[in-house]
Amino acid sequence: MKVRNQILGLLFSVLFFSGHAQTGKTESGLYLFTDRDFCVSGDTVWFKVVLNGESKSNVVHVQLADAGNHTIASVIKKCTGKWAEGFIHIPDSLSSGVCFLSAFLYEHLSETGRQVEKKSLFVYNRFQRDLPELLIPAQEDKREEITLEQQISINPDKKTYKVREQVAVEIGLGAIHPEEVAQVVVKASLVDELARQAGGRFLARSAASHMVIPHFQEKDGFILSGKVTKANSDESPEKAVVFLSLPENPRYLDYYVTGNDGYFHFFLQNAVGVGEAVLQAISEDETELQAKIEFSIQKIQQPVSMQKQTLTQPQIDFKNALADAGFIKRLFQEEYTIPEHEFSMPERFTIPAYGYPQRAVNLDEYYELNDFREISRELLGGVRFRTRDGTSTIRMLNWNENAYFDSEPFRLVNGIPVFKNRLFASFGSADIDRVEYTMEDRLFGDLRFPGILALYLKESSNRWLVHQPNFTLLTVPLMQPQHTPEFLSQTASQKNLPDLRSVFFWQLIETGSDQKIDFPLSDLKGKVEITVEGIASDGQIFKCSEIIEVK
Amino acid sequence: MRPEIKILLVVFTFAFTFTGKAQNSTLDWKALGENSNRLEGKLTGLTYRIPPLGNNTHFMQDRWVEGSILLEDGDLFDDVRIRYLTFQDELVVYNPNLKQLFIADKEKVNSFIFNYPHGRQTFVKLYFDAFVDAGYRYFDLKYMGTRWLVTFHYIYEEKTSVYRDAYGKLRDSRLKPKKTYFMYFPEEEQYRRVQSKRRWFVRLFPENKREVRRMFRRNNLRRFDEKEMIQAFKLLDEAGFFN
Repeated sequence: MKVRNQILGLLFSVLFFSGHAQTGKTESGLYLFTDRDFCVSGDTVWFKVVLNGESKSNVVHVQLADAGNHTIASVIKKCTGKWAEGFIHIPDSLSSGVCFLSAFLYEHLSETGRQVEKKSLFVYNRFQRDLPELLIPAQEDKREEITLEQQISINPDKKTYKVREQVAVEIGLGAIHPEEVAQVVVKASLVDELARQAGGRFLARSAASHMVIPHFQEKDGFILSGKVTKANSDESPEKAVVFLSLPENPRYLDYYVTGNDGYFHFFLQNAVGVGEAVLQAISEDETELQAKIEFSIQKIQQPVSMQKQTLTQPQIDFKNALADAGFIKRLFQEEYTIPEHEFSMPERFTIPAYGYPQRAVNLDEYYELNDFREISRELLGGVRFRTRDGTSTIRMLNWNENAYFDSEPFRLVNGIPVFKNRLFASFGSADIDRVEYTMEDRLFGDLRFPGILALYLKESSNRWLVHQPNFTLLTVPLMQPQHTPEFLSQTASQKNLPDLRSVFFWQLIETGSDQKIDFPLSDLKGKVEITVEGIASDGQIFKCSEIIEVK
Repeated sequence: MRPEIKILLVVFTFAFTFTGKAQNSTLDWKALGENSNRLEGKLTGLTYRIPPLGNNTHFMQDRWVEGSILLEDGDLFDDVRIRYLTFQDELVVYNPNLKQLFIADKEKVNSFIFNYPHGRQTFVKLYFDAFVDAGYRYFDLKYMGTRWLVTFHYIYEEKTSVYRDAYGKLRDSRLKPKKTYFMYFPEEEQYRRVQSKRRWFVRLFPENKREVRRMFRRNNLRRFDEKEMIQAFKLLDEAGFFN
């Protein structure tokens, strides 16, 4: 009987826990935390995303959208472990209102009806004073957060503080088992009563993207997608080959063959910062084509419903004080906005995409030659450049066969494929830095290159592209590099400068034992909320908070 | 119209049609399709044509084998048809879209696996610091542990009496596949040539000769062919002799 009871007990507990886990877990396995619930236009909002799902993807997309789900800004961030931390610049021109931040994985874009969690962000335009009313989210879509008050305690050393005073807080996390919840997000920030009461996490349902999404999981990189259409038309060609070149060092080159829909996708591994990209689409019948980038955007079926809220005078005063603080911050803080990072992408292999060049000719080592015909004749053995009746042809020697190839080689200028020989004719020694070429029949995927001729110009700005048809030169935001929020490094502010931070502490803290944190307050007065947020073992978000006052 | 003129017209029409096609970009549009899109990356290499006077001894395998190629950056190409070109120590891959053979760029390949019905054969690229021809070579990986047992396959030209080959050409040599076994020290990246003899293995451990002999005897290792050498490496590794 004793054994039977034990088995029954075991079965019961297994059934209980498995059932519990199914009901609580969010569908995406992504949880987003922000350093603030409100901001002034022009601010930088920091986010942390934890990836709890079983996907192989380790790259998350975070997008900021308005109440109508029109994307305002988006960021792509690679996870370190299970967490991704990044920032989003709030445009200075953004009107006052409630925006929503949401996180998704690339593979989610093709799904319809998936639960999407949208975290509210109250944005106050710094030029808009005495705002009488605001559209705030209706509470029916709000997601309930559980409180673990019995397991978490927040004990500040005082309840009332002066401006710029140091706050010491004991966070009781000893009752939480690290295997259930490994880390929590601890935050201390100024309170906006309106955002505190009306804001939070809201639920919506996803709608599939209009793009054709390849079955692909982004690992250590992201997919850059776009569409090819005929010039001055929305019609896509039956088939086109799109080349993507990132001409900055290290050089990147890849191609994609589009179908009837015209969509193309490129996977950029470990590409961070902001880079210049050149897109080029060509079709068999040589129609003039244009290629456009389409950013990965999470669509939703129904936006979060909103309602009008008239602001009280204290709320208006608070908002005006924030706007003033925004102006002063810009005056005194040089690095108020984080500058764009330069492009970086580690080289995958030691050799270029098209293989080692057999020969490299540095033109500065020779006397000056006027055009490419002379250069090829005098310096490039095995390269034949001919112009007859206004048509130029290039033929390379097939080194292994000891005969010239009967078709054009793969031609590159600054790492960008070029299919018109006309362009080469104008380049002389004054323009070209070096020429690299290969006299072999090479394959790059399904592309066959009867020789490769690569020109590197002295002028690296690629101005020559401007007059070329079928080329699109664009600046592409890649994955966001690692950056630390400025308030984390600010230990003691300078007394002669105004300190107008509204977020004082925002860090991941290990559970399993009680922790002590401390942070300096700023010149801003009002209520400060110290919160502990995290994800319970059943997948539900919990939040505990304590209010202190700055007078 | 006179028939000669008609014929000339047809010939001219064809000639112009084909000249028109040659003006287009040099891409093989028939080969390019959705199968050409591999987002992780593409295999690159040098096109390869089996030489007219070549024979099966150039390759290790008689026919194309389904296999996989792992590149240096961790990108894995599955279900590719490959053959090891022993004659040049290269990996030859078949591109089904272009219907073209090519030698995969050795700089990019890390390892490749042949999936036979009876098992797998793994090749790894390792740096071989020889006096002549130092560089990266493909080694047949037989055992991978604290120390590896690897085989280098090569083709040896053996002198024979004069004979006529299949093409009726007079020859005085024959190509013979050969292999050399090496013990590879992965941490030191060094090699030691392995002799397929029991005595060689015993001499590796002069202080433990009796234990090694006893271990080989108990496991019935006598002939020291390839199978038994792999077994010997496994036993020695498990017994901690390689530590």
